[in-house]
Amino acid sequence: MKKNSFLVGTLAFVQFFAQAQSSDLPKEEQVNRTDIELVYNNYIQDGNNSAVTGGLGTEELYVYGPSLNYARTIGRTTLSANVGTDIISSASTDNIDFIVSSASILDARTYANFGVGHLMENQQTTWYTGGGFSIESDYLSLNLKGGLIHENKKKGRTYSVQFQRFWDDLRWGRLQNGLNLFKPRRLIYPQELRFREWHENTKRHSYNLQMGLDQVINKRLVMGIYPEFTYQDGLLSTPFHRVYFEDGSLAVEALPSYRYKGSLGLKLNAFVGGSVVLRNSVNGYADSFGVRGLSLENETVIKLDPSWSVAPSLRYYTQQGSRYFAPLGEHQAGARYASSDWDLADFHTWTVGTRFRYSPQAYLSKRMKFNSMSLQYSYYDRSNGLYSHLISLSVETSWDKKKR
Amino acid sequence: MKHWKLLLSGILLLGLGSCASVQPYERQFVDDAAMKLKSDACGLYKGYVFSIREGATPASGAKGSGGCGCN
Repeated sequence: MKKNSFLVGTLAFVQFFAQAQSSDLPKEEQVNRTDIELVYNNYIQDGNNSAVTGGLGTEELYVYGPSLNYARTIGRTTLSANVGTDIISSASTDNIDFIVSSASILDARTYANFGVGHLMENQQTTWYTGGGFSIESDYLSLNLKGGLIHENKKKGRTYSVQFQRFWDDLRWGRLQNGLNLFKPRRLIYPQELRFREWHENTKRHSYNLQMGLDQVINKRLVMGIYPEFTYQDGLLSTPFHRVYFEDGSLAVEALPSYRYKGSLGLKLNAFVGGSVVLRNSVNGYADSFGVRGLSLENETVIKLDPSWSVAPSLRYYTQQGSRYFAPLGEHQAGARYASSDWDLADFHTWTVGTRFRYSPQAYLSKRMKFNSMSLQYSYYDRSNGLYSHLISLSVETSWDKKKR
Repeated sequence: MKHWKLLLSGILLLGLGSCASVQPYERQFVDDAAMKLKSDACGLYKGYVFSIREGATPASGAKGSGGCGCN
């Protein structure tokens, strides 16, 4: 009896003490945080299989691409924006009109995407939605998306699902003679093929469903599985791509008006020893044009010290081409569908690269933090002779403000 | 196709079947920035370039900005 009274008394005291302790604790800290990332990409490409000139001709291309990523977190809600532009200097685009010059036509792709996300009361589920646009001289793309991310209580497994819808318009003329956003003129065909309208449809619609499962396997191993499905309909050909047939006749590229795509990505990251992370991924792809693709990639992050890391990477990709592709002069005359775009051909590619990352996580002032800086270089080699260099630089900073 | 199914089933079995519960104080490796499964901005741009120069569109890549990629 005495024992029981003592036990009840002890429990009551512990309960009272615990309540007193919890009432002394500060209320949940809310952190308002702003993240800003500046990114600069420089892409240089050359090859000799341009689709604009029917599968033979220069593919020289320079792209200079600054962009900005912004995210503001207020309590459990995050507002985000991504804006940028790609300044494009393309020798092949010159050849739409056969005005061949070394100083090529300058074009710009400008894009902006905005989003809002909210972590729900259960601290496990986040919903988000957003939209954006991209515009260049011959292309306007609008998109809307929405998704859910759910993390289990032990933070070992995360499910995600996202649906995205695109509305694209391939008519040219929005950026010529001033800004004519709502008055696009027409599809742009190669100069000698403008005697008729080759395509009735000028729009492209895309529906994309992405799913994901991230799993912590053990203290040093995480994996992710990402199935994805896309359906497209409308004008899927590029109107200024030429096709030369075996009888010497010429037409614009013609592809079916719908396309199904399916892909499956697997990622496996492993922390080996105290300073090496192996980041591995495999990606399989198939579509209704007959394209089959498989990529294998490894990036090995070597931590030189707590702030500096270097990450060499290697990627191999192999592709079985589309049934609608044939090189210059090999399509049968009168074929309903024909393309000489080598992006749809049989080939394999190798990509080698290195990334340097400096992440001091240092406060530059009371609120401003310098999170990291990355410099990445990649060299890309395609078995049909196309090659490219890609240099990317990113700087990440953040501002914190604690609120009670 | 059979090989793919076998490979996928094997990875799923190995992965999900052998998951261990990782305590909060054991997460220093899985929470490391280099262990994140998502691509960063530089990686997303690289994926965007791949999706243009190759017929395949990589899964879980960025698709936020459209563009003809026709150059």
